[in-house]
Amino acid sequence: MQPEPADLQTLYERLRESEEKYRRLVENAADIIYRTDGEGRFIYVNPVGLRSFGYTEAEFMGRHYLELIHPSFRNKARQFYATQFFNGQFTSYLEFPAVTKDGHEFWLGQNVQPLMEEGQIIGFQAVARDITDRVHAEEAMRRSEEEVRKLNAELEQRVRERTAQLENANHELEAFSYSVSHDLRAPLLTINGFTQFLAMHLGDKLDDEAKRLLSIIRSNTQTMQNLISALLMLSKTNKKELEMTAIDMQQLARETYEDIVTAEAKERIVIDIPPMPEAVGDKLLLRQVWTNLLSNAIKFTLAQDERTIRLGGRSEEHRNIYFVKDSGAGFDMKDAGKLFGVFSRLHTDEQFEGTGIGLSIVRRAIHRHHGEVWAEGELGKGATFSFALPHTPQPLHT
Amino acid sequence: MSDQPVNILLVEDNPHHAELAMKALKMHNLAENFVWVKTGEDAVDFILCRGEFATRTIANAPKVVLLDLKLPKKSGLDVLREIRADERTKDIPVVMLTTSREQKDIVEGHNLGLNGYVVKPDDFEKFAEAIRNVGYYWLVLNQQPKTA
Repeated sequence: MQPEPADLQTLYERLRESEEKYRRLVENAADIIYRTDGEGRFIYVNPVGLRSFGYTEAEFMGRHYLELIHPSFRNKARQFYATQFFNGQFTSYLEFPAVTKDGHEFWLGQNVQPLMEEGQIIGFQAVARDITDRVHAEEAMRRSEEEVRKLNAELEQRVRERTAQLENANHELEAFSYSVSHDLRAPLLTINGFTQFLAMHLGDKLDDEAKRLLSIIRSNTQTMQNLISALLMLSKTNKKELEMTAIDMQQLARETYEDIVTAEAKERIVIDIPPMPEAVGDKLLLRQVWTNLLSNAIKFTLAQDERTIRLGGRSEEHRNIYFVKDSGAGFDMKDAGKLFGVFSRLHTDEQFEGTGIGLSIVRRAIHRHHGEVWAEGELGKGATFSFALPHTPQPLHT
Repeated sequence: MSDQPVNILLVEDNPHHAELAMKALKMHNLAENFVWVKTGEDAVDFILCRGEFATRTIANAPKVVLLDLKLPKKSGLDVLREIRADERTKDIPVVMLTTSREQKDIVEGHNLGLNGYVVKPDDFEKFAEAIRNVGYYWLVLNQQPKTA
């Protein structure tokens, strides 16, 4: 049935309205929309497209689509769209650098569909969006990742160099302690030897003053001997490989005390060594810790009227804490920071003898167990030295 | 040097230590037939009867060698190595004198067939005691019956 002319008129009117609606949609779209003929020459572009590329409509129409693509990318784009053309792919997406009329480069992400008529491709239509910001952001990201890689490589190089320096320093330290033990002790033996020989064999011919002078020489060589031994012990504490085992701290502390206390001192001191939590650590180093703390406690307690030493230990969440508390000479808390330094002493030789190295050995040994050591005290009222050992120790090797 | 029998050969570069060792041996009547050389080179020449000591015979080997570990140029361990490498002298008792307790030296010495070592104490009485023990053991207790 033929439609009536009036109906036809209405139909045209509706068609025109519908076309107008879609045209407005396309022309006001934020994306670039264009269409080419079968050879790829533009037959339509929306205003966003013209603005983006900087052409007038007259200049734009008839231009080949490859002219809008950056020369460096044209071959790739041609191959990409040829593939779509020959395979009859319904839709494709490509990101590429585009160029404006005045040569400015920007990035597009573009969807392309072929336009079909009676089974033949008669052209293409495309929707493209400016993705320059995203591409630049990605490039910046790549660059910063590259930078991070470079920094990492530099850092690793620096770590290698530092490690080499450290190894060097360690070798020097080893050579130093070797030389200390050999070269510094040799003259000591000579001094001690001849002094003793004099005392032994000329004993009757020496007057009291000569004997007194000889004994000063001897006691000073003894002091120097102690210093050398302590320095060597400090260097050994630094470089010894740790052998971690479970240790009965009560037993170790008792054994150590029995080893170092003189019979006379033992008579005069009241000591309490209760059960303590088991420690995980290097037995030799921890024995050294007890040795130094206990001999300090003995030394500073003997001069007092009240002579008690109390040991103890308790377990906390991640660590065990052990302490040696004495009723000795004590110290002023403002001096607490000086206690653990090498050659750092709070007393003169006439007050208390010492090398000034013992507590730095303690600190080093505990630090090598990733532990902590600290002291509390009051002048004339005794001191408490405590150390903490982690439950799951990770030994330091340097 | 003439071909005298030798009880103790002391190899010691420090003349004062050598004198202390000699005094210690004298105190215990062990200083008879005592020879002192200062360098590792002289020690090897003496024991292998070479160079300055070419007139000596190997059969008159020292009964014990007291060998200082730290010697200039040829070290105590070098001397020990050379003595042990020669079939004729490999069984001569050698006791190392050292001022240190450096484990690696002592271990290496034992690997080379060291018979013992003395850490030189800083104290003369202890030193004299250690020297006496070494001399007494190797000169008096350890007399082997001659088989050849």
